[in-house]
Amino acid sequence: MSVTPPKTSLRLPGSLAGLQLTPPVVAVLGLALVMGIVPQFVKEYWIFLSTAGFLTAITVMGLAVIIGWAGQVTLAGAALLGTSVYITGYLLREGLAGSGAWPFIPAMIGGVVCATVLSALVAIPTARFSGVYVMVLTMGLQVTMERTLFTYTWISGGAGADVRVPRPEIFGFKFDTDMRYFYLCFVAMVIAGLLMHALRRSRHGRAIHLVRTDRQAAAAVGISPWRYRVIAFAVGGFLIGIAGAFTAPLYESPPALTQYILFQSLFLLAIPVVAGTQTIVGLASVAVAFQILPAALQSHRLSVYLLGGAGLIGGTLLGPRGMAGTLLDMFQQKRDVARLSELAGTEDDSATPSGSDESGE
Amino acid sequence: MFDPFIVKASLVTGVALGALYGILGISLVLSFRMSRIVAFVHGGIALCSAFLYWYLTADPARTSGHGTNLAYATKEWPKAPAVILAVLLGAGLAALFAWVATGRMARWPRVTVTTFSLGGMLIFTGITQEIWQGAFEIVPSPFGKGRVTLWGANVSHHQIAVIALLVFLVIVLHFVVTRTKTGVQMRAISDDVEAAEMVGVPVRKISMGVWCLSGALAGLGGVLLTPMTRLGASVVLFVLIRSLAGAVLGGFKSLPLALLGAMLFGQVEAHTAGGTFGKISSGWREVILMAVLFVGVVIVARRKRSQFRLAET
Repeated sequence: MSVTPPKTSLRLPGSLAGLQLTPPVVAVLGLALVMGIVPQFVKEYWIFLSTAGFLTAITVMGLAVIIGWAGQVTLAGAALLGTSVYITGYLLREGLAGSGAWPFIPAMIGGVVCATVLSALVAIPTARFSGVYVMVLTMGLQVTMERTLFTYTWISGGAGADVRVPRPEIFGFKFDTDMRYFYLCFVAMVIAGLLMHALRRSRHGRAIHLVRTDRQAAAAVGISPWRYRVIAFAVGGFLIGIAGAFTAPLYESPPALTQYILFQSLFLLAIPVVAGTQTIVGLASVAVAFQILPAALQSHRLSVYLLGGAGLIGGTLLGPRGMAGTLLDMFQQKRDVARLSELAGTEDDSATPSGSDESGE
Repeated sequence: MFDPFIVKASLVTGVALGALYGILGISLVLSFRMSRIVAFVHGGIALCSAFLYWYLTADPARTSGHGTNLAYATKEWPKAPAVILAVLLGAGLAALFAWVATGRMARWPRVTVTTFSLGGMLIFTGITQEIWQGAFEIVPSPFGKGRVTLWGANVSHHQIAVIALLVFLVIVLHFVVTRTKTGVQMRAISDDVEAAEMVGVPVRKISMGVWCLSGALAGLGGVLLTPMTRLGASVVLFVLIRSLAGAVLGGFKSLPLALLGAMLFGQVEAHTAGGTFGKISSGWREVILMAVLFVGVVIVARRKRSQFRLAET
């Protein structure tokens, strides 16, 4: 007779006694441990890179809303990011006549509003068209921004200008060191992820998904495909704008415009394509990895073009669920197999009267 | 008001610019007609072919980094075999891409395959950047250095040859697509792959052939456009975007219309830059070009939608 082993549940002592160590709880505790301890022992360079990785994660969350939820491919990711970076930087900076020296939150709002409005403006006429035309037009927007806003030195700051973009001070607390800024950006990434999660489960999030899955069905139940595509673009622009606003003071000087050219848009596009848009944690992990990998493999001269290209090709070959989705499927499959064998074992037990041995029949 | 001298010179420059954009434009239209995807990969192919051509033909004394240990050890081959090799490389790379795009991905959503082609473009660009890091080179023309003055504009022999070659290619390809059995088979595959297979069209063979041809054209485009600009990833990509705009204005449908679209785009650019409408800053020129592209897309997309509705009715 087979005996089903009793279910083990690890319980924490004391005041946390009721908390079961389920995988999500273990993941959160592990992350808290890693975020609390590891940064104390690594060089500032890696802290800085990780901070940039968190901001890339927020950017690709915005792209995931447009690409994954609305099913539209935008090639203007770097343009939206750059717009927010330069506008926020312009409002924040010190050292040039006519610049703002604004507090961080109003400056951030300025950058975010610009990116959101720009993204929505592109979506308003293009939301009715097929994906290929949206690609071409967003590519046009990218090139236009590169050759207009980003080249105006009075906004972007220009190369070699003596301009300082100070790190923020929020409610009297200064985030002036790399370590403090690292934690601020981490919190921003977590909040962005939670916002995205909440939106996905909301009525509007489900409507955006329905529009992508079946436009006619969406229209039949009173959901305007055009309206929800515009909303998806606006939400995407909003998240990218937030990433840009936090990127502006990261370098403490205006970043080079080569960081916001079309190739960068393609590099950013590769991340949600590789990660898939099913899990926000997967998206953020791949984003941080994409930011850190080229630097970590600097001795091997890993080209960002090759990394981005391999990402796009690998991601499309993996299918719409991407790497994170494929991994989740694998885990789910394993779990299903285990559950099925467990169920089969239970049925065997219930079918077998105690004390008898059916195998001998 | 309008200075006739400036207008005439801008007209000629516009034709030359249109030809520059038209070369890649026709390869984009061919691959779109075959697979219904925007072949961004042709940008990477054009770059690879252009780099190969430059590497085989350039004088080492004229490459950047000359006299230092960063100099490129280019060969000084005659131009004709180098052009042939560059075109063959284009066809080969396109065949490699098509092997996946028309095989495993034949029935995948078109936007996904287009994203895959973006990946191909980045990979090919990455390879050239790995081999020739930081290169931004002057490329010798296969048609020599001669120049003539036409309607007040200084035009090179290279530009004249490119325009002539482009018109010739468009006429020949248009004839092939519209008047031959292969062209009919191409259109059948483009309209409905499954139906074409059912009536016995060799889908894979035709698709691979057309992709090889469009890749060869992209390779030729890379070779012909870089002597007019310079050889660098950003330059070729910039021209690709303009070519794409021309192809979109032509509705991605016919080769003559794509050529017309490229010429229209070239004219707008030449007249805004040349001063026909007064001095316009480079930023505003870009905004005007974007507006032209935008209006073109709106018209083309609306026309397609109304045709679709008509077909449904």
